[in-house]
Amino acid sequence: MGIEGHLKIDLHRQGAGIGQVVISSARPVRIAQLFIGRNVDETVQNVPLVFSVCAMAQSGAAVRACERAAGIGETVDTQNARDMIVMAESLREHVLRIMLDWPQFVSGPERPVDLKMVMKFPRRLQKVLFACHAAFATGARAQIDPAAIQARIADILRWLETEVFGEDIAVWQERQDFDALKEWAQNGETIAARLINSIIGKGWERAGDNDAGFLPAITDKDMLARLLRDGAGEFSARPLWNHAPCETSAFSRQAANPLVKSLRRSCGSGLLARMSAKLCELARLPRDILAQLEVNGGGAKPQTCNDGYGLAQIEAARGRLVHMVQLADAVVRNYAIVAPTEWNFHPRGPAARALARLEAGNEADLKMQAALLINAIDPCVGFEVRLH
Amino acid sequence: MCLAVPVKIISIDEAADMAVVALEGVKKQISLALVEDVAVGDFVLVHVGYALNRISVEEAQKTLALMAEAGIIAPGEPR
Repeated sequence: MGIEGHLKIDLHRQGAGIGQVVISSARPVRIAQLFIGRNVDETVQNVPLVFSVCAMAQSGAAVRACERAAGIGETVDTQNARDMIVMAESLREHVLRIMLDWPQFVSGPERPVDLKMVMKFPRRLQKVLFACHAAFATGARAQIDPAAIQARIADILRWLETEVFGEDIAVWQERQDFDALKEWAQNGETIAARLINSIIGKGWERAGDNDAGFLPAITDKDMLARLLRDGAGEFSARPLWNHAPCETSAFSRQAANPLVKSLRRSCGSGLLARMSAKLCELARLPRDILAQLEVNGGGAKPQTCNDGYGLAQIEAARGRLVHMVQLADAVVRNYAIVAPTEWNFHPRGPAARALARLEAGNEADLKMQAALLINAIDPCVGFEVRLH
Repeated sequence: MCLAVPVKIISIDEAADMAVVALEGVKKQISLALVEDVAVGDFVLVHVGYALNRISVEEAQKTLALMAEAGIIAPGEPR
């Protein structure tokens, strides 16, 4: 079933390495046009039906953009609560990549792991943040139950400690350099520890190391201006910022994490730093969600109504997600989405640059390194790697 | 964009936690490892070979209609 789109990645060998990388995307990036002519409520209801893989992030970006365009205030509590649900979804997505994809890269017996609890985590959290009401309907207001949230976070922490980290997360987070990570990987039995151990064992820590830049913080005003100049949809499909491809991912978000910083210094921005960044983000997400409870909430946030324009930038599992809407007479006249995969898998972007740096003695290793790198950068669609 | 496709479950292999689904006349095997309490005739959202969650017939119809309107599947009733 190719409806969800896919990436074709052609690697042209040159000597022991890669001479050329060609990334072709069959992702339906112009699908946001679907919302033109619909009202705000209908648009916000339709977004999660169409974009159901990261439905929370897509809904969060859609409702925030639409509310801003329509001049509907979002209270601080509501904004925080919605962000907490999006973070819960990012946690789920990281777990799925680790538990579903990483086993193919390690040898040895697999212990079945029940993922259903993690699948339900975002919706279970939503129920205690919005008292079972829709979180992403326009004008929704959070009704937060802090004790219930803490209980759900405690559940997910226990699960992560057992199934992913194999130890107390606070202890794992004290591992802040290569040697400490290696010690964990060598002794760990979880799939995450085994994959990190395998990368180190094969000497693939630096595979794909490159100096591609990260997507900088961009003001809503600047992003809106850029999207309003994107009539043909070129920016949404193949975005560049200041004429340069940029990365937006767990790796770019965790660049300041002590372990990731240390690994980048010792092993470059290759496979080990990238895979570890995903684990670092996963480790901190439960406490980051809880930390939102501490933010002083309350009254309606001052809302800017930009003559019918609304823009929202949300940190989704795979990177920054942007929705832009233009309303006229309460109807959508223009809608654009820039998804992280378009940045990360731009033909000259971070994935292409990383793949071009691969070197391996044989075809099987080259293919596995490529698959690991693509998995680390994490497109939201299936992919096929072809060596030429 | 992260699209998942609504499909109808045609048969279930409980021992393997797998199902056969159909969309646009094409049958495919998918994993049920991420969902619970699904039965033959239910609609599920599928992404990269895994059922992500069960959805109602109404949600499936609406989603398929939106996808048909966007030109990414052929128009028609869910099968």
